[in-house]
Amino acid sequence: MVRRSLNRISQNWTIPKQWHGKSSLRNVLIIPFVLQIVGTVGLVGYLSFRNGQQAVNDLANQLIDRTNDLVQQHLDRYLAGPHQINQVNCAAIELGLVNLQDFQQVGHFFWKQMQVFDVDYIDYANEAGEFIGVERLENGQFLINETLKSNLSQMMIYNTDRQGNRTSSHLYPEPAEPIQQEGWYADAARTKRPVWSPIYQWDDKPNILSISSSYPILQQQKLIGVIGVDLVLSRVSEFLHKLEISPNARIFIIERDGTIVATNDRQATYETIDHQIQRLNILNSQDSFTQAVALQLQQQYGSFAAIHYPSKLILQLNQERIFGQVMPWKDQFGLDWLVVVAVPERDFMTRINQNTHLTILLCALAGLLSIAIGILTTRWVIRPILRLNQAAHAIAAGRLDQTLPIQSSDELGELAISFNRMAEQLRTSFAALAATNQALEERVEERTASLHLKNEELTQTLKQLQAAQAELIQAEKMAVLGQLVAGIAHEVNTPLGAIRASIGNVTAAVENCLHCLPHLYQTLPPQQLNEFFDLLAQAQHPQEMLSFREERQLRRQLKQQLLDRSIAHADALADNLSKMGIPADLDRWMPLLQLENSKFIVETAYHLTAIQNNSQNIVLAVERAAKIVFALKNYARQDSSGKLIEASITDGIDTILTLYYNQLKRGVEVHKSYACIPLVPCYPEELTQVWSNLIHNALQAMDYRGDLTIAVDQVDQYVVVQITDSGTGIPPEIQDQIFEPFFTTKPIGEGSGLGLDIVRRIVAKHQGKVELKSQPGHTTFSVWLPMIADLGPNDQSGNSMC
Amino acid sequence: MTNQAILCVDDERIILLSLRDQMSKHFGEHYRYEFAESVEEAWEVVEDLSLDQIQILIIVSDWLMPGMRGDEFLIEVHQRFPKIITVLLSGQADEAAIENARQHASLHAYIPKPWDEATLIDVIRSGLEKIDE
Repeated sequence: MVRRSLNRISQNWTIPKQWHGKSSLRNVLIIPFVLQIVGTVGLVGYLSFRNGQQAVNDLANQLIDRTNDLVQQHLDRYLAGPHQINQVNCAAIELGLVNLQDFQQVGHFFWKQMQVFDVDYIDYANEAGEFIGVERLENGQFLINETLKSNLSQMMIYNTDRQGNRTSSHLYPEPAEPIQQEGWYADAARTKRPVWSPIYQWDDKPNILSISSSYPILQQQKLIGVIGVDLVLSRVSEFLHKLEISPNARIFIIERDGTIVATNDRQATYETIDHQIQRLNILNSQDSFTQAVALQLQQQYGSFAAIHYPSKLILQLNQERIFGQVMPWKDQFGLDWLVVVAVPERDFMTRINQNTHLTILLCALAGLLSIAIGILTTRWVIRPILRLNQAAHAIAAGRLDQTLPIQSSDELGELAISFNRMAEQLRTSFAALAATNQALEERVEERTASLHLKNEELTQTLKQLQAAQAELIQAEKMAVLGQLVAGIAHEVNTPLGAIRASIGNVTAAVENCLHCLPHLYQTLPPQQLNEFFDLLAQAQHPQEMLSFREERQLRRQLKQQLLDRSIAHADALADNLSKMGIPADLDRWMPLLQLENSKFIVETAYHLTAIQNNSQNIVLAVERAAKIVFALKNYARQDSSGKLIEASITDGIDTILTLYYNQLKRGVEVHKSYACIPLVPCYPEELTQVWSNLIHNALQAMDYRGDLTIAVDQVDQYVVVQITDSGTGIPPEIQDQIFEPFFTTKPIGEGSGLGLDIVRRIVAKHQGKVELKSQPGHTTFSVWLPMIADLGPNDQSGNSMC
Repeated sequence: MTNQAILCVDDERIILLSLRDQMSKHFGEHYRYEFAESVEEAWEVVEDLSLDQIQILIIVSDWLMPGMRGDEFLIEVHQRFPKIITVLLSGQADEAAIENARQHASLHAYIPKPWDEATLIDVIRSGLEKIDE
């Protein structure tokens, strides 16, 4: 039971961990408390029980040892008595103090001895068959029994008085057997040594066992008789019985064959078989405990004769422990017995068990009391905490009107006071919060309303801004255009000026011709007239267009040839001839030139040529103007359809280059490298804005002097346009900003800051991207445009523009 | 023949061609007319004429030309040959450039393209008169 409760404790140690999460405060406080108490009480009970058992063992051993000692001493003393009497009587007989012939005296002497010694019979018999003996009766009376040679077959029995005198007498009712046949006499007579007789039962009282010590009386080595002392062994049983050991302890003394000498069990020591009374063997003892102990002993040792040394045993009988001890006892005259002491454990355990029960009861009571007190204490401690907890829960749930009763002035009382104060503060705070909240809500509503208003305003503004943005983008475009216009004005005005002048020149030339030709026809002979027309034809179909420098050289050569030929007006002739582009081989024209009016003839020829020259000039000028107008038209065109058009990227770039021609020619060398790429679906007019912005920036970056490289390539499914200038480059710190709207490095008024933002927007609209790489002298903007745009339904055509 | 010349500088051949006929139409053989398609060529002509002992009276120059702008060219001319009358003939020239030429090249006149023939002739004539004074 104690063990089981210990087990329970050991199991419980692991439990708190699992409970920790869920256990209530009450359990947390009570369970360890209860566990400690149960553990302590259980341990105390267990230790007291174990100590008790140890004490039982010690006590049993001591008791058995002491009992054995007592039995041994008793046997030594008790069984030494007859020998001492015999030895005294022998000595007395030898010394002649006792006359063995005088039975009166011998009987009296024996009577006297009986008063002193606690023996049961002292007797003498001689070889003649006479017998004298004193017998102790159970009632304390002494009888003198005498058989004389007068009649050896009868025995006279005399009562005695207090002085040992014979009083009344009667005859023993049965005839006496010859004395020489009685065991006590025969054994001593035969061996002529002191001997113990076998143990014998009384005929009339079979329960009484006796033993006789016999001494032969020798005179000159001749046996004259035998003296003997009888000892009732039943008195040993009495002694054993009187020994106070324990209620159920058994002590028995047996002979080596197992026959009982003495026991303390008060059972019969004999049995009757076929009307014959026999001594009882211990194995047949009527006392079951005694019998069982004997049986175990025999089984353990094989036979009783095999036990030679004292030994202690612990026997198991019917699941009961028996403490036992067996010890051989011998004397010099041939007695060889075993003394066995057996004590059942329960004799001690009864008390111990009572104590144990009491201990358990007390432990249980103490435990229950402690637990009860613990639970009450815990409850007393916890109740305010639980109430606090409930109140806290209530507050957490929003019920702020919680007040705890203040029941004590200890820490819990202080806690309650603090809690009440806290709850009060919470109520106040919540009230304030609610008020603030209300105010906040009102403000939020106000703000929301104003924000709504603002939002509408912002939406409106955004719309305006979007409109403004569109305007700005257009304005940026126009700003670039405006800057272009300055150059374009020159571009347009140049052919216009040429046209205006040439028209005047043609008019003048025609007038001159009308004036000169009739005169020429009249004065010139037909031969020379033909030469004149040949000259004219030569002038109108010059082999090559001469530059003014070449013309000057030609003029110089012509003049030299004319001078060489001594032709008058060489300067004027050379001037006009060179203007007509007449090669410096004048032999063919010499007849004409040698004429007197050659100056007039050549002049007239020049006027005629001038008509054609100026007309040609007008054509050239018109072509120039048309080209510019076309480029402008391309640039400014507003395509409102918003649809993708398949167009040539390079054409768009060339348009811009045309528009920028006069700005480029100041000092910019343009390197074009166009790969063969197909038409690309795009918004062409928007792309021209990209090219114009990038080229414009490039020109400004290098102050209109340097190299402008434009490369168009195909990389995967992209057309890549790279516009590289040799300007100062874009500092790394602003490279990230240049695409942002309104970012500009130009002075105020020169740039809107939208140029590159527009570039980025337009390229993004094409699902493309713009990249920048810049270092001083080498800045490249790369525009990547997808060749298969998923911008619109236009399918990819295979047309190439090379 | 005459030892006096009028030099026209313009990168546009069509301009020079039309100027040539206008000049010779009005001033005939009184002057030599020389034409250069660039500033560089103009200096060549100046050198050649100088070698031939021919005096340049007037230089009519375009403003927007590759290599060097007209006002800069005329300023240089004026520094080397202060007597030469300078005229700008241009489709487009900013005010700063004209002012620059007026101050540093003693610009006689600026004629915008497209020019009126009479205006051109008047300018040249008045320039020639200036020399005569």
